Amino acid sequence: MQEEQSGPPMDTDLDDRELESRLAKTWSTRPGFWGKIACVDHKVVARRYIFTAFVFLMLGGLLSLAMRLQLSQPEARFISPDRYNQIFTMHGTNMMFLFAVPVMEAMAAYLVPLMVGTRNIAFPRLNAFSYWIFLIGGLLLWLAFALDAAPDVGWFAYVPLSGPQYSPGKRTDLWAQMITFTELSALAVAVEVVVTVFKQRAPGMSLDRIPVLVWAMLVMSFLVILAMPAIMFGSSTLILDRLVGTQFYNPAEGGDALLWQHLFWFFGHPEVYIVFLPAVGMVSTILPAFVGRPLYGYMLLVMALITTGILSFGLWVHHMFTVGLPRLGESFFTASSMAIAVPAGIQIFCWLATLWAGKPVYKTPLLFILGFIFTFVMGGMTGVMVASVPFDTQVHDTYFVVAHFHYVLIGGAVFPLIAAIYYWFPKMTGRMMSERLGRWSFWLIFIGFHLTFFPMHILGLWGMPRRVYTYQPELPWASLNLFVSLSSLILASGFLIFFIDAIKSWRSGPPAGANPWNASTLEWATSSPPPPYNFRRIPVVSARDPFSPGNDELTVATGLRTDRREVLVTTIVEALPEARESSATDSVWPFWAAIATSIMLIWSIFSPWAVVWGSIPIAVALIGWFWPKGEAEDES
Amino acid sequence: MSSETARYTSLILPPGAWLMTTQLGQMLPYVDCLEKTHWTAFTAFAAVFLAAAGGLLGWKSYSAAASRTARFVSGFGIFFGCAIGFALLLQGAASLLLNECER
Repeated sequence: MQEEQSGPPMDTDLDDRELESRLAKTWSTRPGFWGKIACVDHKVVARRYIFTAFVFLMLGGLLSLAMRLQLSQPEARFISPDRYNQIFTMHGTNMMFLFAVPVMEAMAAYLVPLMVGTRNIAFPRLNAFSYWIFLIGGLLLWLAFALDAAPDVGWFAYVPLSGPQYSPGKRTDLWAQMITFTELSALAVAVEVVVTVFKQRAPGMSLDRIPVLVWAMLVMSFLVILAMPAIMFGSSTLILDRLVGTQFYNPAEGGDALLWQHLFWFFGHPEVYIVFLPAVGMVSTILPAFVGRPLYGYMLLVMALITTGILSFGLWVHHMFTVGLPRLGESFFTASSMAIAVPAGIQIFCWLATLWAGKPVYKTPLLFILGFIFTFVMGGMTGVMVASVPFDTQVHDTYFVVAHFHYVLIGGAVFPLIAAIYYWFPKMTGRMMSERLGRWSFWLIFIGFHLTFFPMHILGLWGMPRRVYTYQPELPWASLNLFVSLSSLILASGFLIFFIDAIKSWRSGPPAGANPWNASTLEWATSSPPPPYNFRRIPVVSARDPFSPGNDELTVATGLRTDRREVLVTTIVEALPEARESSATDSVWPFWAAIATSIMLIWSIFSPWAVVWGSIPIAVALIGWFWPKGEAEDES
Repeated sequence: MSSETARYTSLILPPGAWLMTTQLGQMLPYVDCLEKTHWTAFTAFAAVFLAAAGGLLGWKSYSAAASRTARFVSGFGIFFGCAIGFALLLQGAASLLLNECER
């Protein structure tokens, strides 16, 4: 009764020191091994995600060096044909499913709650679950590679090659099930991001004040939610065809081999934008801090982001121009492929205008952004070229396409990502990265990239096909291949310096302070690294750039409880306060649920009964996860 | 139609029209080839009309008196109408140039 009269302890009327002490007690993770396993702090989970994804980047990079070694001279015998098939399959699968998508989602999981001014991501336990699932999926693939059982059917595993007739054994099943793992984790993060953006924004952060990066992550999350079920359906039915004897992809029994391509590319093309749109958000957020003026064309950029997201679902058939579909049907996809250059062009012009009107300070993040603009425009141009059916028919499955998509993916996503790491590293670790090593890293990566991938356009135009493990000395490709292979060492040395810089700076970089770039978004309103509760008091947003010059002091909201983890729920459009909602506490159950799910998924490669028996431990783990806590979850 | 209805219709109409043609554009060429009809072209231009109508509704709902967020949403409608309408116009143009049976 006493408790009801006085009410639960709130953050109102507490001095800063007392409030911080109480919030730290409520939000901190327990020490020790199980405390770390149980942790659901979005920053900790996201840091693990980012670290793991970069380890996979490194491994994927080593595979590409192995391929370049094999192709450096004609009829080389460094790698056997079978191992080469495994290596290029692993490289593509690893880079797309274990690096590119997860690292972008991890950046979303780290940055979105901070940028919208909340204390944790929505569904924090699901976030922890998604990381464990991602980690186990990645380990599964690499363990298979270590045991010489890695998939060898290409990263898109076309049927009938990947079907039971032409790919006996378990290699393809491992690929398909790894897809299920990574898509499951991606879907989980996407749902969390959508809910966080829609319902947990700081008061006053109406739709037109959401930072561009948050818009980008929101659109990316919707793409994940709409695209990934197609590939999960595809990978599950492929396993069914191989294990149970269903005939989804067997035309002889009424199935359809093209169904696989439609399902794969319905996911596969939006996946390019799943990787690219966060990069657009990163560039749009980082650029203003280095040119000393607000972003030009905020509204145009946001609209271009959303339009790109929509149009990305109308491009998938341009990967299938040579399969013999009606030309009229294909023309629809040519049109969309060319039309998507319009929002992409708008984005580029907005960034150029921001640069033009500002006073650029050429620090490492800006160098990588300039590298991105140059490289991505080149990749976009060849994209418009291959959107044309006659041209695509000529260069299909040649090194021209390899060059094109590396320009788009590395130029369009990895350059901005490295800029983002240099930019947000101080926030994540509290330490600055080295400017000197950063410049070395940029120039080696930029020069190495162009020397490696530009000649591949020429190799493609000269007819060199993709996925060949060697070529005859009579063919005119040897010298250019040797040049590409040597150039790839320059590119690799740039990445090596980047990794050395990151590790060195993490251990002994100079302290960063709360806002080393004088940036204007909310994540810079808290200390570096942020405390477990993110913000001492929830900020109230009254402008698109909360920290614009002359607006250093933020208004804050009070009224949240300090004795339990609580976040503020706001309305979708205007971000008006609606309710106080409890945020999940640390728990080991997401970990156990991930273990149980993994056992079921891996077991189901070998027996369909795994789905029945494997669901029992999953149910037990989920019951533990959702066990009622005996108190109201929200108070309106 | 109230401003609010126009505003939100303008958000749905252009992507909806585009979604429709993406689906029908893969099915109707087979029908057109067999029956010697022009449903593909008709659908594409109908979708251009719908997207343009969406853009116009966004334009109509844009008012200086509306709230800042409402104007922002109306702006989306106008932009969707233009960008998606352009993609649809390209698709429609292709349907005038190509033979339905060509592979």
